[in-house]
Amino acid sequence: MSGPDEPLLGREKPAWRRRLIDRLFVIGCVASAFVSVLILVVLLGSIVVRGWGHLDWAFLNHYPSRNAADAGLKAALWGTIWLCATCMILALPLGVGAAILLEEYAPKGLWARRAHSFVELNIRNLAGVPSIVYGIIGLTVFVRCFGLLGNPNQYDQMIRATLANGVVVQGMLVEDRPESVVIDVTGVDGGAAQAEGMSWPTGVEVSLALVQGETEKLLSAKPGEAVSFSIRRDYNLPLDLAFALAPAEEWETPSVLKVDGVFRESRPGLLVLNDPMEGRMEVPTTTVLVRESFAVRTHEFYLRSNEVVRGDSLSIGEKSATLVSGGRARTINRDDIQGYRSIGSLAIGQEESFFYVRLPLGGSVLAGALTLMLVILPVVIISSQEAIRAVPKSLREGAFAAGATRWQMVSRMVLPSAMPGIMTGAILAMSRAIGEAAPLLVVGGFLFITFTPTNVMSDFAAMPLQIYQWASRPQPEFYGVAAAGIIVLVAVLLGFNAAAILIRQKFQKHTR
Amino acid sequence: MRHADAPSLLKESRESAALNPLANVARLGVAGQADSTTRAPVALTVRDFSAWYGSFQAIKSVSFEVRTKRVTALIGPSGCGKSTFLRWINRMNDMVASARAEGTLNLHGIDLLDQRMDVVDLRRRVGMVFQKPNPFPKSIYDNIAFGPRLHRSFRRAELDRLVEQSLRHAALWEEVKDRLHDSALGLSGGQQQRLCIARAIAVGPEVLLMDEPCSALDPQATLRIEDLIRQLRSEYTIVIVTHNMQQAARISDVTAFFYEGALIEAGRTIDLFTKPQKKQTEEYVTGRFG
Ligand SMILES: Nc1ncnc2c1ncn2[C@@H]1O[C@H](COP(=O)(O)OP(=O)(O)O)[C@@H](O)[C@H]1O
Ligand SMILES: [Mg+2]
Repeated sequence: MSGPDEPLLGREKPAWRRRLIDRLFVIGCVASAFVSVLILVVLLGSIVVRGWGHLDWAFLNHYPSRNAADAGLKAALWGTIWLCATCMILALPLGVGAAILLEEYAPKGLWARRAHSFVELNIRNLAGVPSIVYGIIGLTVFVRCFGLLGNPNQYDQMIRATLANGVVVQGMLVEDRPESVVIDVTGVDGGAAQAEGMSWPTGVEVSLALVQGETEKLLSAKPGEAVSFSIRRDYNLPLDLAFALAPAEEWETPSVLKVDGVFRESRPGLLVLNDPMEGRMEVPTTTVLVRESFAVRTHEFYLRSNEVVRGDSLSIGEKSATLVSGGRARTINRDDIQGYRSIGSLAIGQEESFFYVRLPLGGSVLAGALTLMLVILPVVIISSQEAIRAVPKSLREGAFAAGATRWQMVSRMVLPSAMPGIMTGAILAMSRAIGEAAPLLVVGGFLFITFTPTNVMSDFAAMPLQIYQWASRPQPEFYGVAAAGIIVLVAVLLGFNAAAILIRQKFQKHTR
Repeated sequence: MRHADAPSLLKESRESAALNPLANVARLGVAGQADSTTRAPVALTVRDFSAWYGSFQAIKSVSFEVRTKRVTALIGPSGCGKSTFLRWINRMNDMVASARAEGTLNLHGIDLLDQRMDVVDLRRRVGMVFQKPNPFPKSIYDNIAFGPRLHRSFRRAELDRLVEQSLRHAALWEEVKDRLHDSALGLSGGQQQRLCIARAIAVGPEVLLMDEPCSALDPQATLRIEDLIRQLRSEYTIVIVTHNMQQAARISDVTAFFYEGALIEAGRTIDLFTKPQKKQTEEYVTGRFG
């Protein structure tokens, strides 16, 4: 620009200043990196310090408990394993299939091409949709099936009607007429009328309940005597769980619930209140203020022979209890029962084969897995597409030139070559799904559950939900339990990532 | 290193061809076969064949014939449509959305431009070897077995025999017989290309298309492939694209010279190199341009 005689335009920048800015920039970068690493170390460190004491084999092998020392991750761990396995089985074929369609079967016609790129664009957009949205879709589509197939729990629909006089009537829905609702209150655990300071409707006997904090009071009651006391419930457990008779150590001091019952007897570690009432109640619809429907819960009966029977309770009467277990009715002598408690809904599926399916899906493993599948599907599709695209054109041409049909080319050339990439992407997507709490919460993952899934229709707990539940409890001992849960979750995630890296390395060795 | 050699060989051959193309051709003994060349039955008939990519015409109304069990070389400067032509013979251009063609392209009575034609069956009858060796990331055995397995089911022993035959045919058997189950990617470039030829042969084609099969290879590997092509000549109709006129002269019976999408001249290799009818041909074969 400037000739040899002309002076240079502009003012010289002092070199020391430029060097200083350079220095400051480096210092700034190092500082911010250091701070973020420090925060991470402090967070992980504090979690490890808090949780380490709780971390042992028992922690992995115990069901959750109201007692921090006994609380374990078993239900959530297995729930998560079931969820992830089911989700993987669903998401892989769908995601890879979609990727193959998009990559290998790209259409030629103008409108088909436009539709193709529209779909592709949308998959990219879907990858950014917050997971809670998928939770709501899952609730509508999978859990409820748009309400087209009836109530998710229509098998054993229970109703809780709050009457104008404050009385709550709860039981099996027998008939739903315009002018009245007939409710069978026979033998339904918690199938009681619950009232607060109200008198019971004539002819209706009071039902059962129990609480540990008020054990003294209960013990002092005489058989046949009406008891009434209040307790505070401090977290979400299924209402009827609180109603169930259960080993007393399951219950702890601060609880909620206004409970009424007739004390029957007490045995060591067990309180037995009176039996549920029998008969049907017809409630005029005009007197019903609020009605809620929910599912019958499955019960676990602890027998004196140390046997545990899991089944759907039909009736629990004075002399015996009848339950459905494995599709057969079974009657157990009342004296053989040491205690029982409810453990979740959709009881009928409890002992079916693992692939047993019923519509609508309700809050089952399958519904949760399908919802998680929605969350990870865009990521699986995109990463599979990338893996498929990375297969060199020369290999495709080679396969075609040998006379392969398109499907033979895809299945024998593209898929084997792309498989490591596909698996890596799927595993990384899965490790995202493992940490998801929001969609599962919406779909109906349980916060407190004391069994592991036995089939895809089972209720489930999941690690992030369990950790959330522990962390939000008021008792400080549970922080440690939550921290231990987090350690396990992080360990599982790191394991997944390690697997992804190993797969990639292994296959790279084979092809290069 | 070996890539550095290839251009110099090309240049050398072009220079010597420029000095005395006939001497070269005659020395390699092609002239002796020339008489029978035009008497062999026609394998591929090309009439007024034109091909486009979108609106760009890559081949302009080409007519000639490819004869059975002869080696036909397609020569011409790069971008003149040689590969395009080759890829229409086995319909590889189906993979290119914008490609279309007009005219007649007829292989043993099959209309190759018919949309309803069975391309899978066509590709069984027409094998292809690509410019860059493209072994599959599988074992040597599975590379060869890939094609046959697409079309038929075999008993193990049958497949073993087929693999051995194909590898022997491609003059590769002795080198790989002890490591059939090792990855094909461990072979050298020249071995890989012979593997690709064996893979094409294994399907049992009548026609072999080769698109500059030696351009990625060193001179020694190139000579081995040329030997191989001479051996295969008695069994297959071979159409080979080459950049290297020396090579065309050495291995082909018939040569077709393409220039900017048009066929300038086609005829017996010896005639084309010794008495070219067109000035452009003469200039090209004597290395004055291209
Ligand atoms: N897939 C394609 N799409 C568009 N144009 C192409 C395509 N392949 C080749 N061409 C064009 O067609 C012409 C002929 O190409 P090609 O047959 O590959 O030439 P050659 O093999 O003789 O070097 C070139 O101008 C090239 O740019
Ligand atoms: Mg080419």
